[in-house]
Amino acid sequence: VRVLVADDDPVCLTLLVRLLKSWGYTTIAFSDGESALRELLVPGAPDLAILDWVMPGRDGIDIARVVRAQHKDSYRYIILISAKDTQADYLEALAAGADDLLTKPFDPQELKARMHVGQRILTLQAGLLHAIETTRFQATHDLLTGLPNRLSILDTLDRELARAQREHSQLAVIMGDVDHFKQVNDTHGHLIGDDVLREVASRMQQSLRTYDHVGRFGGEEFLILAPTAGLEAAREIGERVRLAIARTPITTEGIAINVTLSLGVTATPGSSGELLRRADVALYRAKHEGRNRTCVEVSPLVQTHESLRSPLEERDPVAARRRVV
Amino acid sequence: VEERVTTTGTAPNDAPSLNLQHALSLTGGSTELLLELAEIFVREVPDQIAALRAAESSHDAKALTRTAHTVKGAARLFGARAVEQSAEQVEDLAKSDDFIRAAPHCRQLIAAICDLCTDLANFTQGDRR
Repeated sequence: VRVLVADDDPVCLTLLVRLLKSWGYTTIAFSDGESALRELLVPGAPDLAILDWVMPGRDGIDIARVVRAQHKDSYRYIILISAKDTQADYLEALAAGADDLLTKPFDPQELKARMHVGQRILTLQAGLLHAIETTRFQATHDLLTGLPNRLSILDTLDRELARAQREHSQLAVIMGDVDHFKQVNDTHGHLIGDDVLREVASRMQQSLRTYDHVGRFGGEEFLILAPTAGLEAAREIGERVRLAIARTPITTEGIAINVTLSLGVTATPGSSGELLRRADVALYRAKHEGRNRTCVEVSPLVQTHESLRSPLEERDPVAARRRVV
Repeated sequence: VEERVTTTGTAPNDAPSLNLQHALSLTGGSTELLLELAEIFVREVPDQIAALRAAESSHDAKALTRTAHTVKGAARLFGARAVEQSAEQVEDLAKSDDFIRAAPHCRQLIAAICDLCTDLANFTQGDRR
């Protein structure tokens, strides 16, 4: 266990460091408050600190206040030591955010016991943080595939859309749906169906770029977000995902199952609602035209713009809009 | 260790300048650690005294309070009641900006520190012999 120790008196500092070392602690020692505080605010700093109350620059109580105000994600257990010993001092230390106060000179056995109290609190705290983290993961992820769930991927869509607008960049939205999934369930049972969904999710993730997102949108429906991608790049991503699934049958429990995916692709401009609606329209068309394919739905804004430039497409606006890949 | 306990000195009262038994209990019984602390204290004393004098003569209440407080902490470690009491008086007077009354206490404190220093030096040299 690493402990940060700060005391401007070299006699007390040495005593603390030597005692702590003899009990098996690793110490980082400072003789002034300013550098002790700087070290405490760095991520990965020791989570146990013993600070002298009275120091030039930053005193211990000051440090406790700043650390309490800034650290939300992990806990720092702070023991103040001081030659101050009135009850008012004790209350002031606790109010400032110290966990404990020892008066100088302290009995070594008492310090040792209080260090154990600190470690106990920190262990409890770590367990609590872990539980919060687990709960947060479960609330934002689909437990079957481990992908972000619908709520979470829609949240990401809003964030990525805001970023694309801020950076004058593009964003593609791709909706993918497993073809005839009901048949897989009916033929092989739901457990095999679950395996198929897990494998589809895994192959999707592997065929995406590191900064793309994929989430489970519904039963056998997935939503892919591809930042910076325009229609053409998004179509390529869609095809890559489609092939990753269609090319090799999914084998589970000794059964090889041919699985295919239909995909609907669209890209900015548009609100998140418009993008989702267009991706859904494109997906519907992919299903309608025979499945295992990627269809693209262009923004009406882009379409108008393009038709002005291209007289050929202007003559056949329906064909321009329905560019099937 | 017992034999080297000294209670002599020119400090204003009969309070002991050094209590080795007490100090040993605070180092968890380690004479080696106590020797190291004594050496550090003796080495730091000139700076400590200079800081006290500077703060007192420039009427820097904050610095005088802090320095006296630090000295008090270290004195308690060695069971040096004389230094501790003087330091506490200086600390309190400095806190209330009373430099007129602080001045003699400051001189007393410096004398007590010197006594403690002599005792600590005897202690560390005695150990080497």
